[in-house]
Amino acid sequence: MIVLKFIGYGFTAIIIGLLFMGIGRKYTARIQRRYGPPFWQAFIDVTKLFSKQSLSHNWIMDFGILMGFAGIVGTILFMPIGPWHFFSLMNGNIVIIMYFMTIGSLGMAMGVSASGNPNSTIGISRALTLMVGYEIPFVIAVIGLIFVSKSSLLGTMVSLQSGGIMNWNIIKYPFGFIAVEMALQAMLGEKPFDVITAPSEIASGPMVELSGKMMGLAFLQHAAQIFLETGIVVNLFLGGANNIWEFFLKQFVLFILSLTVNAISPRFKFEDAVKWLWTWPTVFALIQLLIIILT
Amino acid sequence: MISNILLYTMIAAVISFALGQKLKAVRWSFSALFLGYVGFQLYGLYGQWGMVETHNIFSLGSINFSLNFGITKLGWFFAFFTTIINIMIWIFSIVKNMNEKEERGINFLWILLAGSNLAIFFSVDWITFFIAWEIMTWTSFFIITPGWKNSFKAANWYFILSMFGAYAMLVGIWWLYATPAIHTLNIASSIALLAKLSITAPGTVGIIIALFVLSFFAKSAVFPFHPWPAEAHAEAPDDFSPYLSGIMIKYGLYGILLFIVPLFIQIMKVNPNIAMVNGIPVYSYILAWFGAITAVLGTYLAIVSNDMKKLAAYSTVSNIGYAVTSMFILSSAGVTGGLFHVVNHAVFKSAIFLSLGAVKFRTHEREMHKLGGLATKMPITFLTFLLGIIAAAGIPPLNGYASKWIIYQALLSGHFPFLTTMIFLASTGAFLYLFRALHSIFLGQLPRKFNNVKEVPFLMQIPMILGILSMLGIGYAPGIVLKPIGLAVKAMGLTPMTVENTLMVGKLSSINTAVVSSTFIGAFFFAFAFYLIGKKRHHVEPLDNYTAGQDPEEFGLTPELYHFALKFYEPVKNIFRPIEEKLNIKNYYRALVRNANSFGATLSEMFKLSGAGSSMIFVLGLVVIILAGWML
Repeated sequence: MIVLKFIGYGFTAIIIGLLFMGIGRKYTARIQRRYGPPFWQAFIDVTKLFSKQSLSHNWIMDFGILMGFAGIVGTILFMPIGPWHFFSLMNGNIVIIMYFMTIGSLGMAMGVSASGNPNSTIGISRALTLMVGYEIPFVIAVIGLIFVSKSSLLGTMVSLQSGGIMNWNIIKYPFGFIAVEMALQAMLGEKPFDVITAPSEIASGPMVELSGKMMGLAFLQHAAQIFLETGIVVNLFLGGANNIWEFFLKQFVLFILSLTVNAISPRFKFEDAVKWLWTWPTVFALIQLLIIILT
Repeated sequence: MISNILLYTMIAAVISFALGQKLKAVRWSFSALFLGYVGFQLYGLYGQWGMVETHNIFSLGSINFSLNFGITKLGWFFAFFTTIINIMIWIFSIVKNMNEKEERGINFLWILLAGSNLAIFFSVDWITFFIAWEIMTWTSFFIITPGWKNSFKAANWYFILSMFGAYAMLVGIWWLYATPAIHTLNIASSIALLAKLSITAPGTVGIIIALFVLSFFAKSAVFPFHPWPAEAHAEAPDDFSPYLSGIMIKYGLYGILLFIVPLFIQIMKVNPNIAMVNGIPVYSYILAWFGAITAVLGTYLAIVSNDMKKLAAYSTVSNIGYAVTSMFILSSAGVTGGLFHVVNHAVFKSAIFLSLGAVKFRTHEREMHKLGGLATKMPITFLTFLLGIIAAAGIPPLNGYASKWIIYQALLSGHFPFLTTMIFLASTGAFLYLFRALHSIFLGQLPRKFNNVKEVPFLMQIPMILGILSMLGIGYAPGIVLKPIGLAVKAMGLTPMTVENTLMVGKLSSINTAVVSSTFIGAFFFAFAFYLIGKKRHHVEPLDNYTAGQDPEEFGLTPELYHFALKFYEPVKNIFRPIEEKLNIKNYYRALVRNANSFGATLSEMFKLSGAGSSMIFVLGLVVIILAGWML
């Protein structure tokens, strides 16, 4: 039973993530006045990648890519998805989630840097630095929420927000939401924070050396990551959900918001991205924290 | 019993020194076996709390000079865990020292150091404590500078800051004894008396606390004493670095837990009108900030360093910062988290330094950009380092996350948002430098000169494997360590945290570590199922990929060219450059050294110049001494 539940969680994340990616491509295309691919394009891509031959330079590369995907799937189990929750004791323990999530980053980083391509390593060095950039505002905002809900469980935060839109944290703590939304843009790696992949600069960065099912796994990791990161924000600020479809809808709204910004923004220079994240979102998060402490 | 162990240690040192120059392996095996015996004896001492041994050395008038040893819960805990880690390191030393010239003297001093290590943890009065502390400082200094050669300059950092700390402590002890209301050298009773005195004479108590805090901070490299570990670790013998980082740097933290933290807790109990912040005394809060600054500063310095041993040393500084911050929260979770992090750090940092020692043993290289791609050549070393950095970054399911989780519990439930942010910043930054080390040493391109590098001998792998097992074990069941910690925390007058073998209960949330570990394994199997889909992967040499199968040599393409490792985090450095230029504490120390040098040069010139000059110095010195004596 627990195994089936596990598999169910994993597949839900992947399918919803891939669907979002597909719809996102269509949406971006329409903003740019192109026709765009069909919304199931992401599924076609993954299927194709898994059927191709894959190249690898050593076992660490395989191991790292696996670990990256496993880290994100494992983290999703800690996140409450609407009424679903996997663990009752650790129903969305935010400290565990934030640290478990880094298994994904570490695995991906290890896998691609084992490939030895300097472009991918430059991408990773950017990704890690950007991580320091967006985690600070994110954490300050989360600390504020932990103080008001007197618990570090997402499950408890969700239940405190139940009973109508006026109880949602987005209404109660708007500055915190602005900070987290800005950080989310960087977390998802969308413009203006796409310095990590930056196709025209470093040839897609981390992905440059991946092929076949390695690339497929990286694709799935990205899909699961979209699901996870939007899901955390839904739980934190949008009051969770009563059923899973409502949850997916809220995630989709966040994702579309981020895509809209993506479609109309240029790219930040790398240092500027970090500096920007340490000024604007951090200031908003600090304002929110001060309001929470002083009231 | 304790004095017997200490006596045996001295005898063992002499026996080991008497073994001839050729019996290197025998000497180190003997040391490790002897320490195994000591560990067994210590295990037998568990439970004999409050036992005290007094040995009168001599009497002068009414004052008896005696060495007093006793078993406290905290002391036993430290003694036992450090001994176990020391055994691991000495197993590594057996092979490592096969071709070393200076190992005989190092071994002699190191056994004495291991003895003084125990003496520090078992002393119950300040004089014994200070004597043990001094032996520790001196022996370790001579181990860091084998043969007074290139490492002398580096060890000077360590030595001068240690000496400064030791003298601060000596003055503190003297002040303690000279204050009429205290007039005791016993550590436990001095805490109680100082707490009472804090109501009537807060100034005196403040000065005494400041002197001891300076001493402990200097030893544990807390800001502003953070430069010494990098210098000392980088030049120390490769098998001594794990000891320095895993054990020796913790003495200051032991002092804080032994004296400062219980004292603060006592003061909070007996003195109601003390200035408080968030339920802890103001000075405790300030000291917690020193910890947080150390954590962030250590992280930054680790990010920008290119020497692998310096990087690991700064990472140690940063971890000490977490522990210090957590301890000065003075709550049960805070002290438990700090103490637990000390143990975890000792385990994973020794593993990391052992693997770095293994890399250096095979490659003789310390600069990270000259290494690379060693993972496939040295798999066990790579695995040790990988798991070590996972633990150090606080990623589940290894041991580091358990203590970091408790530290966050303490900080968040005590309502310290800015300290939490600082610790989180340091912790995220840790990810940067740890990954950089992993990439530059073990991943990326393998330079051609290392094509024939082999894994280290099996005897050297044993301690690394033990390190891996203990990291996984503590991560799976932190209760093993947290239960004895609970006893020590209870002895300080706090209610220990509720823990079971695999369950940690906090105020904001609780976690079941066994479930976290199994989730990780389960997720891995889930990912592996995807990996099995489709065709088998095909192996290709990296360079072939870049040239589409043509001869890489024709393109002038070498692995070294394609190893991106130097200036890895240049953008981070660029962001912080303006701050770094203004606030470099090392420059202040250097200025101090310059001034001291010029002062010394002036004096020596005067002395050399004429008889009149030298007699003037003599008279001036006499006047200073008389004045000082008269004023005190």
